[in-house]
Amino acid sequence: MAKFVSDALVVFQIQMLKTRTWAPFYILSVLIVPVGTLYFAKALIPPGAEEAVGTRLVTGSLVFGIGLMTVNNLAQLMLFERFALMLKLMITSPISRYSYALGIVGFSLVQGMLTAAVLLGFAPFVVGVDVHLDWRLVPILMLTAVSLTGIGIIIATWCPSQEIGGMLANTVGIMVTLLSPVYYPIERLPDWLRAVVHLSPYTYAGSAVDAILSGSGDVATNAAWLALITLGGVTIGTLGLRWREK
Amino acid sequence: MVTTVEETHRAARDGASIAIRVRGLTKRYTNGTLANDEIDLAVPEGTTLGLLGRNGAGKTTLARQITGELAPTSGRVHVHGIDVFAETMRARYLMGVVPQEAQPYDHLKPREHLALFGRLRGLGRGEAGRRADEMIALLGLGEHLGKTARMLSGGLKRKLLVGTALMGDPPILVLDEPTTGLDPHARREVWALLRALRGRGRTIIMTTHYMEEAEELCDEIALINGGRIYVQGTVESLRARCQNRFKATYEDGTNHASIAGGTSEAVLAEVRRLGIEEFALTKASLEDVYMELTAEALGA
Repeated sequence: MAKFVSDALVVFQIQMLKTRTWAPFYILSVLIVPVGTLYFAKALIPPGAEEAVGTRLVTGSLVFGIGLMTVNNLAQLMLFERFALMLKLMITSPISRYSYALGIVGFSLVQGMLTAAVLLGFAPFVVGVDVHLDWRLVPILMLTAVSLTGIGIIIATWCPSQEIGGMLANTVGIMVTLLSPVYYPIERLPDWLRAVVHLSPYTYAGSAVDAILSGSGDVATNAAWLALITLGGVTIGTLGLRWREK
Repeated sequence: MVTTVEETHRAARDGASIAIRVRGLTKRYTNGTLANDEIDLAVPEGTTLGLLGRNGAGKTTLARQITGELAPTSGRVHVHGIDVFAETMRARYLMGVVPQEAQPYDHLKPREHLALFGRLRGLGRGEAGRRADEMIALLGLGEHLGKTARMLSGGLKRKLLVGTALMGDPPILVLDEPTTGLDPHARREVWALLRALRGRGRTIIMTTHYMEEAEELCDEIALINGGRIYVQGTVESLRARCQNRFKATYEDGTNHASIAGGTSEAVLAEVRRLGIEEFALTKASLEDVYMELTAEALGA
């Protein structure tokens, strides 16, 4: 167990050292995505309706901003390591694929949480709404950030080329975003799509975050579903992480 | 064919244990390509074995299966008695690997790279740092400590990878074309390092296309053809298999020319018959042996 955790920390440290070399790009990424999504949200609010829909739009910015950024960054990072033939050094070392996955997901989580912090810091100024913050937001945003990383891991380790992997990661992220009823009510979707969106972690993340930010609504049930889907997704992703070629 | 040299060599190793044992290893890719076909191989402890063969012969596939990176269709690989596919983590502690064309993590500085991979090999933080410092001295990377791997030359990157494989002091090294793409100076620096490791009793298995490298570093050569080991033995024993074991080289106008034969006497007789006055008589090089045996294997 100690080796498992220690290896994950080494992988995490290897990733974190990237920020030393490429710090300006990471800072830009962490700032631009949240601020961009907030302005996108602000543009969607009808004049005078800030109070009515502002919180929901901040929720959408939070969930999609950190969710997409995390899964996309993780997939791109793993694709780069795989096709630049760096991952071979890990695979031929005495390290479990689960440690590697934990270290990589941990790094993506840090990026996601920084994005969330920037979003929440800027939201009152950009969107013009006051949001309620409490400690439950932290675990829920962490779950949101890692909820789709399983898909990112599978895409990154199984796709035949870096180009196709990048394309797939973007496609899946965008599809899940568009099909998650955060910016619109679920009732507007056809029946068959409602069944699909119930499998999206962003559906529950949106409801849980909105309940916290607005100070009303069911946090516990949505958080439980989010945790369950995230656990399932990360488990499937980690088990599907290709560590030995067939 | 078993020669006196080969018998002597094997007899000397009878007491040594087998570091790498491959049994019935077969790899058929999903597209139907048979890359390795029922390979049996035993590499005694302390031996440096060179895997030679044409492009696509199955050398890298074999090396990747030995490290556990590639699952076989059938067959087993054991390193010091440990099944590579059943106990992969344990087996990997025993093996340092330089995969073909692998790259170091290019944002890390050499000492960081060595120390962090040392920690993956089970070294504590302090021990990994100490080993990294030793490795930097051994590899001659001291002048490049402030650079990230991205800024190192191809030769220095390769040396860094060899050093990374050596962190944790594994008894076995698997090197897949360790000097491909290096200039002659860098290649010789890597050779010096590998020669030093041979002296310390490491078991090394390496693939290469450079005959000079194999002749310089390897105790034994295995020639792979069509996914099978066509022949295995010392350079001397492989030479003994050949029809042309000696050659005379001379200048023919502006061209280099050579006459080959089974014995030095036969070559000398041919040289005299042709009236050549200036020539050099040598044993057939490993490249000559390789060319003859691969031609023989292709015809077999």
